[in-house]
Amino acid sequence: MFSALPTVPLLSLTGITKRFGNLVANSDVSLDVRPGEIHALLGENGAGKSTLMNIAAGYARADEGRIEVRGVPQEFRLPADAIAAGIGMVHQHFHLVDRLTVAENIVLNDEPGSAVLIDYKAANGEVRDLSERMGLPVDPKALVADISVAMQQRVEILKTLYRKADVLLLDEPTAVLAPAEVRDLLTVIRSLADSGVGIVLITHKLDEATLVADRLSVLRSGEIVARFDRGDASPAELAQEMVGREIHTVVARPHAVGATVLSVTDLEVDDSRGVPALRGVSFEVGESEIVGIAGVDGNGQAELVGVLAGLVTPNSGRATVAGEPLAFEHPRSIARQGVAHVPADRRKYGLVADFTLADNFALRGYYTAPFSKRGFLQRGVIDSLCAENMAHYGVKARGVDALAKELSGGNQQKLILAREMFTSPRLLLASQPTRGLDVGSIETVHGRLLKHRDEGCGILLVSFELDEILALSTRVVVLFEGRVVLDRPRSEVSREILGAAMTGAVAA
Amino acid sequence: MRHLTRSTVTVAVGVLIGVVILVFVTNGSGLAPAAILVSTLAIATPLLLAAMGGLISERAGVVNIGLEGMMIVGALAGFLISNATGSWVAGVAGGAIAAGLLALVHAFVSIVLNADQVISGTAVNLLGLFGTEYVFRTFFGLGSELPAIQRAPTLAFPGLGSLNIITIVAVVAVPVLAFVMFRTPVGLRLRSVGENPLAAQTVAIHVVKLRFAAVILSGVLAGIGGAYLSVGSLGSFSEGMTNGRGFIALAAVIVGRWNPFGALAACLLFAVVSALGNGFQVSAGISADLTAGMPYLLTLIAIVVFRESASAPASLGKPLR
Repeated sequence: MFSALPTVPLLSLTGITKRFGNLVANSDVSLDVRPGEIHALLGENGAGKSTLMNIAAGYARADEGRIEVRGVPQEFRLPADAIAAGIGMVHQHFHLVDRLTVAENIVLNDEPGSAVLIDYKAANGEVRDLSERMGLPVDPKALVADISVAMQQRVEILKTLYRKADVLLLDEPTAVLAPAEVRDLLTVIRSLADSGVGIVLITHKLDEATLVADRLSVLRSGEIVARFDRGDASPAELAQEMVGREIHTVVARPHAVGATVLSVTDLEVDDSRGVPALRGVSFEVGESEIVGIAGVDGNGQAELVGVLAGLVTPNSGRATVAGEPLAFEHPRSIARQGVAHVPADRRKYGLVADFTLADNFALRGYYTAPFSKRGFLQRGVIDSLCAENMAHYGVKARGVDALAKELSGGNQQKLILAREMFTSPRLLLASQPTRGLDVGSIETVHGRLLKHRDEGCGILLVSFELDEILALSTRVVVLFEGRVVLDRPRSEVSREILGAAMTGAVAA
Repeated sequence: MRHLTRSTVTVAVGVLIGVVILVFVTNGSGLAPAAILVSTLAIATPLLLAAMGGLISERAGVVNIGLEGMMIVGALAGFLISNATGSWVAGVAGGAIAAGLLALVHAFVSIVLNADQVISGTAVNLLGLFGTEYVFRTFFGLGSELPAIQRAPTLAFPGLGSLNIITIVAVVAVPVLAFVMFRTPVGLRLRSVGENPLAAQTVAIHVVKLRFAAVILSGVLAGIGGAYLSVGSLGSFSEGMTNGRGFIALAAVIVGRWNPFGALAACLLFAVVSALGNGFQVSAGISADLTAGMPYLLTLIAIVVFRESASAPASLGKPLR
């Protein structure tokens, strides 16, 4: 794909070093991106990818090193300087104003019209034109709060393109998308590159990187450890470079399933806007069984887990745990029935970010022994139990007094899992347990889930990752528009069958 | 106007109906509707100015509980400067500037030092209330005769009565602010800063500058509201003369759901009940304590009825870092 003529890189970072106290986030890192090229930047959580991109986009300043745009040295003091130089960044967590429209978000601070009057007609028109030209369809007049995550991401990309960015820094753009949306996004990225834009794609999804990138750089502990051209490295080799050791993909082996733990019958639930989300869902989970709930996001998965965890009230239907009716709406009673919950949004529902690890560990059982005695918290017991379980689950932190927000996503998730499994539950609701985690943490979490399954725990696994569903599940259930469209043993489904079922193209 | 929400229209219509009914009530009691209307607008003037100020600050994401302190500083500075220069315009301008400077303190403490905005605002209130007491006594001592100052002029409206020129400014400020807020680039940027400052930063909006400007403008408007009390309507100053109006203005912003017309409706509601109370006190001999308490009770009820935190700017009260 390289032309014979030497091309000046659109953006080049040379010898970038960034320290936070004693921690070296980037050490002598060099990276460039040429016009028309997709350069994938791979690395585990905490490897320094985001720090590097924040430096390139003016959000942080390097301690050492040079930034050049089209060969001209730059000094970025503010994000505005980077924007002016044509560098647009799309953060992993979007920076959008929910209560403004799509068009308002895109034209903000560069509004068409005069200084005293925004020309809303022109704004909506320009946004519509741009979105059609770039293959990123959006409704200019919709409120950002009302549109899907995939569409919000398009708004973020359009924001940078509206400002004539010719370098796009995309920080894990596929982490929030469903498989079909990922394909669409990668197609758009490719066509943007073909139109001359240079793209840096941060990811830890190796198959996507190998599929779409022209060049790949691997960052580990703040240093570039490997560089490849398209086709020179397999996902397995990349994984090894990222982690620094060999990775073993877990595979579920056939095993015996015990008595029914969870039985759900004709469950009907409305979503938060009152629209039916589950329309008569029935299935079962047995002891030592992992039932994988597959489907595109927004087909009722969140409501299903919400009902079973006691957070959402069903309209009708029944659920029993070990034969006993589930105490809808009472999370504590549900917990006492032996149900544990690893929520999809760990930062919002899984942990209290400003609490210590010990306090977070005690969150589920703080009111019972051994965490408390006669109404008093047993500090010493909590600390030692937390430390013990952290070691057990491989949570890396400076101690039980560290705050939850200091931990990487992988370590947070391991802590949540350790807490939830502490009481040896009958049933574990695991909602997207590896979302946003790096390969090393995914390996740990998967290994743990299989171990708990072997010990008799029934697991309801909700995931948008087909690979995860296929690797772990004993049975696979596909939800489509609030209905079960497929419920079969793992051995009787393939990726193709699941893919078809997820779009509603298969009858149950 | 596309941003005028249905709830705000409901509030406005409700107030309108209330006003009509109350005016109807006054028919039987010998109170003239035109006089009540003029009195209502006069009472609403300082509230409106301070509420518009509070609205600007809060839309930019900075809680401004210090309106009361800024108003009293505006009232005293207006009186002193009007007295010194003999010009009501200079007095009002001086009040605006003095309150703007006090707002600058609040802006610095909450935006640069990232301190808690409610505490900073409380400090501003205490500084305003006791600072003005100190300065006032330094100039005039206790219980001495105050000099007469030039007051802001009134304009006569046939069939209605005469309105203070500052009252007209206050009423006109509402649609102007609504236009700026919802139709102009600077309004869009201001709202984005109050909703999601990080998003504003990513498109090169200078969040700190804009918040500073908003808080200072908020002080300037509150200062004019305070100066109306001394220079506009009374031609005099007394300690603590703002008497909680800054807090009522803040309540009006919340009841009005951070919309200029909603805040206008809330201010008018408070003012019309005050005006009627004053009227009844005179004509029907109802206890002054009872009629004076009514508007505050009503404000409390209105806050409970119209509470909806969902319409508050999403980043209200949160420092940038």
